Amino acid sequence: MAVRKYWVDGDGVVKIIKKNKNKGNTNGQQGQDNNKDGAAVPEETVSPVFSKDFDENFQKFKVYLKDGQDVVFRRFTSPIGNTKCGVVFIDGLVSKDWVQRDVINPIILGAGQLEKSDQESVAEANTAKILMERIVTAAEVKEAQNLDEAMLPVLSGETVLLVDGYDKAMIIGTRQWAARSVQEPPSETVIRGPRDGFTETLRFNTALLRRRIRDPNLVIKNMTVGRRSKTNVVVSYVKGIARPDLVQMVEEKIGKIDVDDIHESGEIEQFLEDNKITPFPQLQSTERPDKAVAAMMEGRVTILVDGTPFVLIAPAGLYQFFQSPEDYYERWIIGSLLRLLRWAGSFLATFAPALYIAIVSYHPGMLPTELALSVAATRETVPFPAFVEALLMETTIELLREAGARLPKAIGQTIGIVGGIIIGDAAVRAGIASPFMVIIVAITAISSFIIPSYNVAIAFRVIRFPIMVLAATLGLYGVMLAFIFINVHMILLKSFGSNYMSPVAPIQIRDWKDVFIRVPLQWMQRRPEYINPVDIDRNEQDPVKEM
Amino acid sequence: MGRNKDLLSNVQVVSLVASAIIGVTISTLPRTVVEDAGLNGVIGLVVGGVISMLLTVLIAMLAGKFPDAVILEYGRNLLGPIFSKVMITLWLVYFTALTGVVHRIFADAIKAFLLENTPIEIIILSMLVVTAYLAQNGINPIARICEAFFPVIIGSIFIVLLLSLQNFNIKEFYSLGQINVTDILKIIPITVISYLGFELLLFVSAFTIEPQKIMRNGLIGVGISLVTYTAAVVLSVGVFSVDSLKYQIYPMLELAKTIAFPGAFAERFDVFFAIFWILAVFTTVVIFYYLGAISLTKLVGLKNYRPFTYLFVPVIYVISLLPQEVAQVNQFTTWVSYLGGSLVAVIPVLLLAVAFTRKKGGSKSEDT
Repeated sequence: MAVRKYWVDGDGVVKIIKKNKNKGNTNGQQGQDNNKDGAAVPEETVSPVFSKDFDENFQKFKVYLKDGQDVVFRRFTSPIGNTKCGVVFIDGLVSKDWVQRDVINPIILGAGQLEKSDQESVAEANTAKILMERIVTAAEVKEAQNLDEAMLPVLSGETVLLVDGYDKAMIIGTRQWAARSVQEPPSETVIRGPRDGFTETLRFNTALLRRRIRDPNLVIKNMTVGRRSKTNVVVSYVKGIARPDLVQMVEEKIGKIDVDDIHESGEIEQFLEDNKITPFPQLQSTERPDKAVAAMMEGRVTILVDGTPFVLIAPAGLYQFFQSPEDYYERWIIGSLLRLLRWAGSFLATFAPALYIAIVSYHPGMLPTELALSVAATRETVPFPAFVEALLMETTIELLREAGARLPKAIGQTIGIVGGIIIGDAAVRAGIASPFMVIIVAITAISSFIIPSYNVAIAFRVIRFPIMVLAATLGLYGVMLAFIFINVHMILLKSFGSNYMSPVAPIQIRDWKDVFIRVPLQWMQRRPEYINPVDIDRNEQDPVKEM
Repeated sequence: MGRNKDLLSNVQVVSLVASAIIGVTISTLPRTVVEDAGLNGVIGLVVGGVISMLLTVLIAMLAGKFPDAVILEYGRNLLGPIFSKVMITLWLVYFTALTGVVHRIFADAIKAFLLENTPIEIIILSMLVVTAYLAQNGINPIARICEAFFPVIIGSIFIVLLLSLQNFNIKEFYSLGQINVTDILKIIPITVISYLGFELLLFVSAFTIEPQKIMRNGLIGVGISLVTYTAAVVLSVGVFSVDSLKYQIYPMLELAKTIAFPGAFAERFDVFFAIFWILAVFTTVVIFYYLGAISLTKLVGLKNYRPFTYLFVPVIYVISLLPQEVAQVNQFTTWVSYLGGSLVAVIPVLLLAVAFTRKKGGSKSEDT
């Protein structure tokens, strides 16, 4: 079977790379290939090579797209030498106004603008060339050499213009579809900072990056993933900052993805990760352009996927998930304290219930006497061991959280009140849980929401359950073992060749200025060393475009 | 052996050495030092540290002669196939026995302080699983864990020492002037073996980013341990006095117990210290576990040490359970320590002597 992969390179020219999986069976004829190819299945065999005859070319499109009733085929005639012309586009993906204004209108009516003498010379010269150069007023025009090359643009919302006597198709940029406009990202809100977020439309997203980095070295490189979906994926970085081998690694890994379709960048993320057996994300995802741009200026690579507002950032280290853009927009003292608060919060979200279990069941002597007595007194009515009590309450809070996330916002709040206040209070009154347990559960839940990245926050929430089991069986020793195990696990993780725990292990003390605290911006003249950017100094940027 | 891409940085070498030294011994050290020699033990401890530093210098000289190989490889070059096998076997016995006995001492202490009703088998096995998980991934992740945990370990020790300053009594040191040379000489072997751990330099010298700085890094590592040990012993003596110190099994944990935390925020500070001490023990055992696995790999003549890290779990488990009761554990510990001490003292000297007489090695890596 011939497998086709579409790669869109920087100039927007579509190249088809064919790779034969079982070489013995394939015959060289392309028309035959099309039949076997899963991507496009016309029953009649159609040669993808364009002829000079308009009707034949137009028919090829009709055969290919005959099952799509949203495809518009429109024939018309240019007054220049009565040339037959036709456009093919998909209704809903193109702006019909533009097709009409910039393509059909000028071709049908615009011949009058040409001088008489021109018209005569046109008769024998290439009509298509004249049309393209002097009549069609659309801004973006490309050429496709054959049907395969023309197919992807049509399906992406471009308009194909066919002209009699011309054995190529003209691709006219007319993409416009109903899309969500730029809005505030709901998953990463800040009090101070830009309000715009990425959207589902790739082109808007690259524009958001461009608006922030007006540097010719900003690279926006198109790739395509998915045999059928042909999803556009953009690899973006700043040339001269990002390490070339990192860029190459990202591109190679994306090129190796072999699936039918991609719906979301989360799927790309899972294909790019080195370690599959871990709850921790090895790429950062963000909806905020300012975050993506800041990462690119540190020498990271961003991956934008069409159809999702979530942009991936590679490589990722654990500490990045604790950074919020606001840390930099507020004064450094505030930013540093908030950063420390998040680290403490993540520790509590992971270990608080386990510590409660361990101390109550194994080491009550650690508490001051009065507190130990009051804990014991409140637990007197609770019929379960601390572990069961904690497991019940933690499961309840996870149920509430998941229910709240799936429900509309208005009902979500109700769930919060019902769950948090009513169940909590009733559980204590009914003697199922002690008030201390409710406090611990509440602290844990709040702490887990303090982490700016949802994907790492949920990882910490998940691992607290096995830690609770260890605490119930081995007490504080079990908690410490879990702590060691998590650290060992994270130290073994790598993200695109960088250590996940950098710059803590291995220690790169210069990078600590942005890990647990955030030093004044004046002291952050060096980009993070562990990413190893080409240009380490922020203030000595080479204005010459580096190759 | 060629150079790997991932090499150990200077900080990593220092923290590896210090982590290997400071481990299970810190909890019992104040007792062992003063048990036989009284206050002279403190002097003996410092002298022992200096002797360890001298041995580190010897090891670094040896490593400097063969910058591209570790002892398991150039040993064959110097001693010939048979004697090098004997040497590797001795190292292997030492590392496995040490890992086993450290696990045992650790489990006994955890049982005494944290988990009274848990069988030590469970404690040993759970620790072994985590150790094997890290050790199978090689020296680089171990070094990264050490450099991440080491500040925490040192920090927790010094916090305990600083907080126990409130109970410090200078009078306990009034008899320090009565130096008894025979007592000091008697205690020196015991103190030297408490510094064991720097021998790992013999096994990692080829994987360092700056092999010429092996000596400096090793000395810093031993130096940190010397300061920590001395401070721990001095504080313990100052708080407990020599006489009562002799009867405490885990003086450092007892020391933490004496701390009254301001504000009555938490009682039993010894539990906090025991928790951080787990980190110190972990970094020690994982290093020796790994060294044991690579020794066995070399002995068998294979390249991949990973299977042996799994194989070691039952082996170490059995070794750690061999001694029946505390006296036997102590006897076993002494035996293992003296084996290690003699290996560390004899082998570098022997190899250096052979290297000098046969004029092998050199700062350039021509003959490896």
